[in-house]
Amino acid sequence: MSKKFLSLSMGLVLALSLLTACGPKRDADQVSNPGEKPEKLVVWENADDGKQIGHTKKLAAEFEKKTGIKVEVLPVSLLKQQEKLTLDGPAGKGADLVTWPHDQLGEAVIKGLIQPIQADASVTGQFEESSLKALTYDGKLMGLPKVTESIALIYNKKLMPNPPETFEELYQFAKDFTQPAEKKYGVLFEGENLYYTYFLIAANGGYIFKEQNGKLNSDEIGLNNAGTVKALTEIQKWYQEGLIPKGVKADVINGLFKEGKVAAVINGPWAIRDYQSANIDLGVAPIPKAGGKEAQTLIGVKGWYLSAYSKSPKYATELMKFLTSKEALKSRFGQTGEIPPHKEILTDPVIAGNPLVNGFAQQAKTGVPMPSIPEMGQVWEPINNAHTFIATGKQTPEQALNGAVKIIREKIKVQKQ
Amino acid sequence: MEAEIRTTAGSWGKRKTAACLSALSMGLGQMYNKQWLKGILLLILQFSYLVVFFDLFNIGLWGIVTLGEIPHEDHSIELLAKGIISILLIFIGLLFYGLNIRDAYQVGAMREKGIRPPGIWETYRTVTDKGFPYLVIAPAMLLLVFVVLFPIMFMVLLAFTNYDLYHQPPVKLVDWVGLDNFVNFFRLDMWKNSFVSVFSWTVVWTLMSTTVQIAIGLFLAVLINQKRVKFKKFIRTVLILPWAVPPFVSCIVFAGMFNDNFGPVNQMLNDLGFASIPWLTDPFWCKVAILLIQFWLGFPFSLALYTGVLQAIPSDLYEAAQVDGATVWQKFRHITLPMALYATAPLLIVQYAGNFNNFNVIYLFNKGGPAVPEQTAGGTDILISWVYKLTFVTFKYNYAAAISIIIGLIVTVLALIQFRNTRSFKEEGLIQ
Amino acid sequence: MIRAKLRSKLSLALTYLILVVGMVVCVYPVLWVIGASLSPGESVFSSTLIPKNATLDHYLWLFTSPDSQYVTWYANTLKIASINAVLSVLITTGTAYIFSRYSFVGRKYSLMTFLALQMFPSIMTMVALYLLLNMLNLLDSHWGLILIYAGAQIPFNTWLVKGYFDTIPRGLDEAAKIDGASHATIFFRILLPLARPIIAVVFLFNFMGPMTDFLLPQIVLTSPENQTLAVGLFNFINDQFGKRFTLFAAGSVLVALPVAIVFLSLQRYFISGLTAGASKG
Repeated sequence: MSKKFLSLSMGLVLALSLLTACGPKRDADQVSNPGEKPEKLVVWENADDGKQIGHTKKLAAEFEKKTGIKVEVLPVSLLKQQEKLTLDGPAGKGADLVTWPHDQLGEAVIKGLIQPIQADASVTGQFEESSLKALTYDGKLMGLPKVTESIALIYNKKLMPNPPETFEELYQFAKDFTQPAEKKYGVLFEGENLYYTYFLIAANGGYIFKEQNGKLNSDEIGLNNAGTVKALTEIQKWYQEGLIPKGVKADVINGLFKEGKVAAVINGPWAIRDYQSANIDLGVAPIPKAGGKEAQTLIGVKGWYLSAYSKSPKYATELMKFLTSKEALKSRFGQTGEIPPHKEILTDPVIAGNPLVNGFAQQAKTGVPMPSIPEMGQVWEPINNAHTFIATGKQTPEQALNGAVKIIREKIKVQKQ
Repeated sequence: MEAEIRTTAGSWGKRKTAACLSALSMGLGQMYNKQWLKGILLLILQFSYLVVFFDLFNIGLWGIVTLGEIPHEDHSIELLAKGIISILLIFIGLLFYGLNIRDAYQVGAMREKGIRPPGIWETYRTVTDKGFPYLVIAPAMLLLVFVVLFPIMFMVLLAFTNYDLYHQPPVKLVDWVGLDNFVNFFRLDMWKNSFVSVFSWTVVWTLMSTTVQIAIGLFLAVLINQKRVKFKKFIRTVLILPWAVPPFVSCIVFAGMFNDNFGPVNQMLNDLGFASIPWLTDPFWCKVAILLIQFWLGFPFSLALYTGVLQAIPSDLYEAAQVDGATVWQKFRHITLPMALYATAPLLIVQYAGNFNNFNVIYLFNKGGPAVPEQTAGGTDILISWVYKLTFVTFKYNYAAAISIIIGLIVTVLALIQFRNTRSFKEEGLIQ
Repeated sequence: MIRAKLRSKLSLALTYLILVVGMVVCVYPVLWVIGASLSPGESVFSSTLIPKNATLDHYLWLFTSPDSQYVTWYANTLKIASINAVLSVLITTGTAYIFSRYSFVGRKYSLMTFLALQMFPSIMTMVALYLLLNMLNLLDSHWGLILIYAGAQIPFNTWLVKGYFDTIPRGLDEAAKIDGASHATIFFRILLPLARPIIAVVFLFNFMGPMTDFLLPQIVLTSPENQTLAVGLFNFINDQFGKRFTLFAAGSVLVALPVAIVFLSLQRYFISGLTAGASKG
């Protein structure tokens, strides 16, 4: 027994001593020269029905003509790009430029997936301040914006000739118009989702994370303060009075709106095309003022980011600037209807003169970017669940929000453990 | 001098010399045994193995111990994978190495007895004849080692690291942390707060979904199998349809159909004069809905299976029962049921185990929802979907790995015990 | 006597009633998807089974739009599915033959061990498979995907086929052996032709697998021209805001159709093969 043990341990020692001899030889062989002009750059564009990717491909061809660098545009779903770059980057198969909603920025920076970009004021000066802020992490600009999205009030002109000015009027309209038995609703929105209710929370003095010295402090959560409770008590009223059916999600809202049974919805520009296909006479207006102030929505910015694995960051940045130039974004708007946070384009008649688009653009101006710190990822599910408990009356707003914040804190703690 | 050597060789023996030489390097013993071609082939094999894999072993073995030393340059997770692959390849190499020594020893022993060692042609014949089973299963085993065993080893090792959002290559290195994950995870409040309810639902879900889907399949098979039923083929075809639809499509479609407000299921209930049921927002009804869906998805398999089983049950058994005046129920209870279950027992175990970890159905239907106040788990979350929620949203991959191992071990052990039972059960059955 | 006759008639009526209800339950969701695929617009919202203003637009879009890669996806998927099915049948039947007829080291436990290992939750194993394919330089290649599918199916299907082979009397191969047949001859000439039903089962399982899997191809295949149907379809509805459910429905109908036809036409083999394989394993 002991002999066996002895020989076993001897073998182990031998194996270990062999192991210590292993390891890579580290030579200073930096073959890649980041300043050198690459043959090819790779861009991941959202895999949509082809409009976005089609346009980016067109721009890629122009860039190639201009610089002689081939640009390959591959469709990768917006929400999958980060996950994919985590695997593909180290494997040497990643893209040079990637894109996702800015609220995933913090995670990407911590994972080291993207790197800060070099851009002077002549470039950054073109964009709306809020969009640049959204793409800045830890004081460093991580990308350039291509689209800003905000929700707004979309109404059926036949059923709602003039959009209300205040939230109280909106509520009154909903009350007068709604007849659940006939599936007729005055105003519908996803009241069980923070993204759609934030404007009301903000109007009452609630917040997600407190901003301190230009940074969000994830220890200071304002989602169970008096303002948020007040806002959600308001939302609860809508559900209690049957103005919004419990549990409705965007698909049902869209379906009813298209059938002409709903006078107005709060939704984003992505829904417009679907609505137009149903031949509804649409209007878009900013969300009515709540508490006397312009409604402040959460805005999402989709930017281009520079992969940390890019072998030619300099030229990839050039390409990024090209993709976000005024001409590029303007023609992109023409093709996809996505509103760019580009000052000159926003005042251009194509947007300012188009009431449908202008409604969203105006709304985006007053919005705040969604938090992009990784702690935000822990907020969505608990807080939306709390919304549901409030909507269904399972819990009072105080109970639900306190419960949610407790879980959010716990999850943030785990995340950082 | 010469005589002396011979005597030493004699006491030491040709077999031992050959074995030692083979241990020194593959093929040497064979050459000593005068099997030149075989010796050279083995030598080449060993040489190319070392040349091809040397770099991988070098990096892999170092990598799995250190998990890298310099951030950005060393990718810990890749090193971990390379390390496991290296170890697997070394094991395969050692296997051949051992066989080579054994072969040299055996041939040496033959020579001692004065038998001429087999030539290359004979060796080839032996390998293809005696070794035939090994040759045929080798590709399958090789695939299994890399496609099934390797990922699980990878997961097991991940459970002992600190791989999460803040320790992720390329920016950071991953480190070994021992048993910390197992300890820490179970200390979390959010784990404690929902464990009991999730676990009990997981058990109910597993037992209910599997048992009922089997029961429906068996019941319908029996109904169709009656002699007097016409259009058998057509009925079976229609009833098997759910199996032919990709399950992820079905789940998504059902999520739409069970919509609380406007889904066709509630529409139909309303038309029949019943009130709408909150399928997606009430935990109880959501559980009912998801069970119904799993019945729908799962019963055609059992139907197909038992249709065959029933046809194989000898009809004289029923005739004998008929003579004894057995009722329909008695015939089912004492002939059909035991025969059917006995015949398919191992498959039943696989089905139970499959449903225990049936992540897809739970997730695609309602993402484990609806939410339950004060809990981190949704109303239909089973263990695996809940763990996924907890660990992937918080990027705690190390926790995910740790819990997966625990769940895996539980299921595997239970299943293995059951497998053994069925086998012994079956052998007794054969004796009767 | 009359009462007994009445009872028997009643029970037959009840039987038919249950079967009809069962059939309706099976068919209704399928019809609903077809209805959805014909609805105009993007979101599915038809309170009736037959949509108002039914349109074939979604089908046309899938096949004719320059933005649609549906045809490419379809071709890729068929290619992966058929190669995988053939390869899997070869590996599985060969391995099962050995397990059924020969004694060798590891016969008793190896299969069960792998079968048990596969009961581990697979959420963390995808990364490992990615890294493996990367090392083999098989990322973004259909072959890499096929290799994984073909490997992962071995334990369960080998077990099924072994069960089937066990039901074929050994006397047959022994007689052949006396006549001087080799191992391979016995396998190809005697066992395989007799095992047609179980081969049909294994073929179908492995043909359907790649048609319906959307998790693995999504991380293994990069280029759009290599993508498979299930991933493409899933992306239609996985978008954050714009779920294109009707397009998804149309695409799904066209996936389910061939699978269902093959499936139902092989039903006869299926039932006998599956039963024999599973009950004697």
